[in-house]
Amino acid sequence: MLEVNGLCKHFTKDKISFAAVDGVSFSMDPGECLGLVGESGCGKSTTAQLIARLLREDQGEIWFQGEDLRKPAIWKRLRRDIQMIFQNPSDSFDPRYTLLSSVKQGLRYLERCSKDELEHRAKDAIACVGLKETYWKRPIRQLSGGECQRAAIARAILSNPKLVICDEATSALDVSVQAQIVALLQRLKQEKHLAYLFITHDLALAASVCDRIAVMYRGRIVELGPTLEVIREPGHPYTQMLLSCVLPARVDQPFELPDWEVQRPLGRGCAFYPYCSKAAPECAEKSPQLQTSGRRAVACFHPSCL
Amino acid sequence: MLEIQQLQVSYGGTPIVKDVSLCLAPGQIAGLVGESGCGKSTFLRAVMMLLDDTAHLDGGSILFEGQDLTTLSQKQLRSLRGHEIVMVFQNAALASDPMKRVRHQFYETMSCHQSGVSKKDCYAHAESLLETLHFPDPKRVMKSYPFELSGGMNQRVALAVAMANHPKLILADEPTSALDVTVQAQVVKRMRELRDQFGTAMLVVTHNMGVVAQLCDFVGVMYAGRIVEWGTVSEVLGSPRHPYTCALIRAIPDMSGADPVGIPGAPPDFLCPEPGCDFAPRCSRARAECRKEVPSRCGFSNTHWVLCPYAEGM
Repeated sequence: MLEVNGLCKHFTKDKISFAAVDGVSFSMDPGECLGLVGESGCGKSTTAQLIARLLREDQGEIWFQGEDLRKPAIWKRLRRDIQMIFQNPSDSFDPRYTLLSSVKQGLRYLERCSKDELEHRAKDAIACVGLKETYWKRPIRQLSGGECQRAAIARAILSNPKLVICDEATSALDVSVQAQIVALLQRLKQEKHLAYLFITHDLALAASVCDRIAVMYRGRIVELGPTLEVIREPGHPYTQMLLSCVLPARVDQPFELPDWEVQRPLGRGCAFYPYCSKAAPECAEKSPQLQTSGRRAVACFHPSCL
Repeated sequence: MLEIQQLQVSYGGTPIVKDVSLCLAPGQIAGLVGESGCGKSTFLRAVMMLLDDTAHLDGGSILFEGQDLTTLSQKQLRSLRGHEIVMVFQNAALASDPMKRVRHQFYETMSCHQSGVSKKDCYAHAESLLETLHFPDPKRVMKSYPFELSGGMNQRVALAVAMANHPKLILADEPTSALDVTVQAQVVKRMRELRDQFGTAMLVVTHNMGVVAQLCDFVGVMYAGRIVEWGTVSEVLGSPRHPYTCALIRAIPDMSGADPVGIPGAPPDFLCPEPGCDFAPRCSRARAECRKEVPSRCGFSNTHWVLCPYAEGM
């Protein structure tokens, strides 16, 4: 359904250009949930914004249902099929609008439909995300974080999209509310056959939500595969380090942190070279490409799996 | 060393922190977990007597080494703050002065409390502290401005500045919440090392159970302004008793891929409080009595107690 090929995006700061997204390629099937995980600054949000056409790529191609997403002529039509949910729910609404009118705004510009139909569909969507009728006339500023995120989901599903991009959609919420929203997203995925591009920095959350995950590091995907396989048997040394740093919320699991310190990047070769325990001379010279084997792919000269 | 008894704080007549009591001995690390709005940050600020004008301390006492902080004057408090009791905030980069180099932050903290300390001694002391926190190049860090350092480095600098006067108690408000997992793990490890080396007691507010499990000795679970369960980390995380603690732990996603379970309902509205246990409306074990009066403490061991008469295993 979605096909991303060699996507690149450079940003310039103080006349120095750096690649936020550096040759990212992946594909998604309908109804699939793909997780993009990584630390802050690894380019996961930029990738999402490129796919949602909020940013323009420098290089690479994005194909959605067989159409080239780079053509502005089809954006308006495709915006219906690709919707986005942002991290901070209250920031993505106008605080003066009521819930019903903010949800309606989502469709007003995308589809031509009568006032009654618009109202009807908005009310349906609000009911679908579990908000009661009493909320219709409430201003957004009076909603709690979890309710606001439900409203954002209602707005996103209103146009019957095929792909919803969730950019840290539950990161600002408490765990008990996060679990409610995750359950809602999974129910909608089943009912409406939605595909999610699920961006998160929380690996444990990705483990429970995503079918496949892509681990990003410095603008590149370093590992891609079925979630539980990647977590049980990480192939890339970076994935291994990332997983070893997740503090287990249990007392029966001893936790030992590997010692490492922030290093200067080499500028060539593998970006993870300075930290890598398996680094060999070739890693400093060439940067490894994503090698696919079966359902998994790892960008490393010495992967632990494959 | 720190003994807090029945502390109560309210904003404009609305109680936010209700009857919170806890004890902390030197070298102990206690964690306070709870969801946003449960009053944990307000409580931490109250311990430091840093409440703003809209907040009011309604009762209770904060005994720090035998002195009741609630009765001290601002001048007496100033001599304690930054010296014996130090606070570390969530966003260390925002909490430090962007116009001053790191070394000045150290000098400011030390010269306030140690009259006549020379810059040279101060910088030497600061460098040794930065070395303990595993900075590869302390000299460069000392010359840097806060905005030139990464989030994790700033947080570790804040810890080093906090340690400058060898305080007896560190209060940390979400010290790792703004950091990536890799950096978070590192900061947690350094905090453990500081405790082992200097015997500093810490009171850490967080919403991350992983931080609690790996850093703390004791943990208190807060809900709607009260500590509903208190015990050692292995008691509370290993065999949680209060229905809220059990539900909270089930809501945390883990690596197994199992779906997290949410807690139905919403936290209580502080503005229209209802009588009885605050968790009763969301509780699967609630009975009619629960909605009448606030339950009293039920103990499981010397260290483990809950505010619930119908807790798991009662």
